[in-house]
Amino acid sequence: MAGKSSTRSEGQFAVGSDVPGKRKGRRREYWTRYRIMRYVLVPWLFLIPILALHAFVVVFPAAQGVFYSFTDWRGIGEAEYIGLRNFEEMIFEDQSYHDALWRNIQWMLFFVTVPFAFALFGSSLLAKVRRGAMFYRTALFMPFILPSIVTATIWRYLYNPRFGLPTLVGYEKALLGQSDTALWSIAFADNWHFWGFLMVLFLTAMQGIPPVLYDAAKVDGANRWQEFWHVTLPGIRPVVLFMLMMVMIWAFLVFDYIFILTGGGPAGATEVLGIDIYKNAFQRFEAGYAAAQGISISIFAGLIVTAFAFLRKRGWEI
Amino acid sequence: MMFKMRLFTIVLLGLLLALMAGATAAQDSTVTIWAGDDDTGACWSSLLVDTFPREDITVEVVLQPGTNLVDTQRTALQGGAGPDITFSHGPAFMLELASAGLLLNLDVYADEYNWGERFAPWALDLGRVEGSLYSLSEELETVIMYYNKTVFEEQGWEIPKTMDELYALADAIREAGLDVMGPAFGECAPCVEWAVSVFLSHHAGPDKVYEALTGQRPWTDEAFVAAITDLKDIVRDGWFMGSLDLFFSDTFDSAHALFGAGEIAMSFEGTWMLDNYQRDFFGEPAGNDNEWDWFSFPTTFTEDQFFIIGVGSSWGISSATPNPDEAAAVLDHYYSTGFQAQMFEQCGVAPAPLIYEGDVFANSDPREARLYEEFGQASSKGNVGYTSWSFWPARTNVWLWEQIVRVYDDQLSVEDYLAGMQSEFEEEFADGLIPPIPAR
Repeated sequence: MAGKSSTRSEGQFAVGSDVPGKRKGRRREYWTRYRIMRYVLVPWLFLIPILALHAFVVVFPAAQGVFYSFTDWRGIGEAEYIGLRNFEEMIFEDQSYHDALWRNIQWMLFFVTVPFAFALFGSSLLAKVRRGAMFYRTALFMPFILPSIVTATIWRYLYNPRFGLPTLVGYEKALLGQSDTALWSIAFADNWHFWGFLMVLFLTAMQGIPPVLYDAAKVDGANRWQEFWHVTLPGIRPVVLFMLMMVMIWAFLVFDYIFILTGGGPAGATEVLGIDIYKNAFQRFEAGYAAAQGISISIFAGLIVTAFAFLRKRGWEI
Repeated sequence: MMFKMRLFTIVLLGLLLALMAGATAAQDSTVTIWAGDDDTGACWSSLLVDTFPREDITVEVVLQPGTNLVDTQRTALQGGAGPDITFSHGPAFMLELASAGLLLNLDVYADEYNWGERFAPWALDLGRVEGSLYSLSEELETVIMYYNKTVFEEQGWEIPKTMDELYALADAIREAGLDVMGPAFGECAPCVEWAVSVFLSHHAGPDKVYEALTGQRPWTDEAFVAAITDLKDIVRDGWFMGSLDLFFSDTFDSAHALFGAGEIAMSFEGTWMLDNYQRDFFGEPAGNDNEWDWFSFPTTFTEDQFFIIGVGSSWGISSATPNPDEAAAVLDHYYSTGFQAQMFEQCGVAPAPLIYEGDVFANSDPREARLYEEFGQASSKGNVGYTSWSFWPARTNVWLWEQIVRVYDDQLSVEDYLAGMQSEFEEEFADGLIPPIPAR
C-alpha cells in the first residue's frame, strides 16, 4: 500500500508542480508534525489530567513526607530541619520501633505461609469441582469484600472467652488479652478474610494451564500430589511469586485489624509499625519522626521489589 | 420589545446581585462547628442551633462521620480550613494548637463576656498559654465507683470509706462469687490511664502530684512507687473483670452488661457513664430490676469525698475564622449555665466546669445532681486531684497509659515505669509543654 501511494504522489507532483522536491519536503514535514502530534503530544494531553492528579495526591504528599522525615515537625506549626536525627533514633535507640519491626516480620512470615497454604490447597480442590463451583468460590471470596471493621468485630465476638469459640474446647482465657496469643489470633482473623482472595487468583491462574499437561501426567502415572507439584505449581508460579512479593510488602502496612481488635495491646504485644507510627504522629505529636518511620517502610518495600527484580533477572518467572 | 428585554435583563441582574449580596451577608455571619455524627453530637448541636438567641448570627453545625474528629479537625486547621469553633481532647492538645498559632487569643472576649466569674477558677486557668486564654474547658469529668445497689443491699455490703475497707469489700465480693469491678479495656488502650490517675492522686496524694507536675518532685518518688505497686497488685489479682486477660481484651458493653446484671459488683468508670447506665444497662431497657448508685473512690489520707478533676475536651476559636466576634458569641451561649444544664438533661453531656447556682439541675436524675453538688463541695475544700488527660503533657501522658500495661504484664518494673515517665516529663517540662496546673 505504501509503495502504491508513494507512486501516485510522485505522479501528481510530476503533473501539477514544477518543484516536486519542495512539495515532497513540505509533505514530509507535515507528516512529521502530524506524527509528533498524534504519537507524542496527544497521548501526553490525555495523560496530563491523571498525572496532575497523581502528582497532587501521591507525589507531592510523598515528597512532603520525605521532607518532614528530616525535621522535628510536631504535626502542626513550623518544622525545623534536624538532618538524620530521626533516622539515627529509629535505627539505634528506639526499642519500640525494633520490637514493632520484629512483629511485622513475624506477621510477614505468617502471611507468606498460612494463607498461601490455605489458598493453594483450596484452589487445587476447587479446580476439580464442577457442580456448585461458583457457590464455593463466592462463599470463600466473600470475607475479602467485607469491611475490616465488620470482620474484626465478628472475630472479637468469636474470640470472646465467655461465649465465643474458645468455650467450645473448654478454653477460658481471652486469646486477644494475652501477650503470647494476641498477635497470632489477629493474624488468623485477617487470614480468614484474606485467603479467599489468594485462592481466587490461583484458581484463575490454574484455568490457564493446558489440560494436555494433566493428561500427560496421568499417562506417566502421576498421583494427585505429583500432578500438583510438577504441573499445577509450575503453571501458576508467576502468580504465586508475584503475590508473595505483594504480601511481603503488605505485611509492613498492616494496621486496621490490629487497631480495631487490640489497638496494639495487650501490653504492646501487637504493636506493629503502623500502630507505632499512628501513635507517634497523633498522640505523641512527633509527626516528623513518624514520617521517618513511614519512609523506612517504603525502603523495606523497595528492598523486596529489588530482590524480586534480581531474581527475575536470574531467570525466575515472576 | 428591545426595551422590555433590556429592562428584564437589568431586573434579573439586580435580583441576582441582591441575592448574592444577601448570601454574602449571611455567609459573613455564619459560625461553623463540627460535631460527631452520632446521637450525642446530633442532640447537642441541634440544641445549640435551636437555643442560640441571636438572629443576626447563623450557627452551622457540620456532622462529621468517623470516630476521630479531633485528628480530622487538627489536620484541617493545619491546612488553613476547618470550623470556626474548634475543640480537642483537652488542655494539653489545645496547648499544641495555640503554640502553633492556630487558635485565637480569647482574653478580650473573656473580659467582654465576664467568663472569669462564670467558670470555676481552675477551669479557666486550664485554657491559658503563657498567661493568655486560648481555650475553654468543657465536660467536667472525674472517675468514680459505680456500684450495683441492689446486689449491695442483698449482700449487706457497706460503701467503703478507706482503702482498707475497699480491700475487705473486694474479698467479700469474691467470696460471693462475683467479679469485683469492671470495666475492660479491649476497645480503648488509653483508657487505662483512669486507674493510674486515681491511684496517683488518691493513694500518693494530690499535693505530691501537684509538686511532680510543677517539677518540684520526681515521678520516681517512693509515694508514687507505692501507689503504682498497689495498682499493679490489684489488677494482676483480677479485681478488674476477674482476670488480666479479660481486663486487656473484653469490651465496655460486655463489662457494663455484666455490671447491670449483677455479675460484677462495681464499675470503676468516669462520670460520662452517668447517663448511659440508667439508659442502657439498668432497669427495664436492660431487662433487669437492678439499681445503681455511686461513691467516690477511697483515699489513703481522708474519709471525705475526694475526686480527681478533669475536662473531657476544650473549645477554642480558629485563628483563621473570618468571624471571631460571632464565634465568641456562640461560645458564650454554649458556656452559659442554662445551656449546659439543658445539654446535660437532654443529651447526657457532662456539664462544663462552671459555677452553678440554684436548682440548675433540678430536672436531672438525683444521683447525677448529687455528684455535681458533692463534687463542688469537695472542690471548695481542696479535696481534688488530677486527671492525666487534662494535666499531663502529651508525650508523658502517652507513656503513662502505654507503659502501665507492660507493668501489669510484668514486662516492666514499677521503678522503670516511673523513671521513664520522669524522663519524658523532664523533656517536655524543659520545652514548656506542661498544661497550666491549678495552684493548691
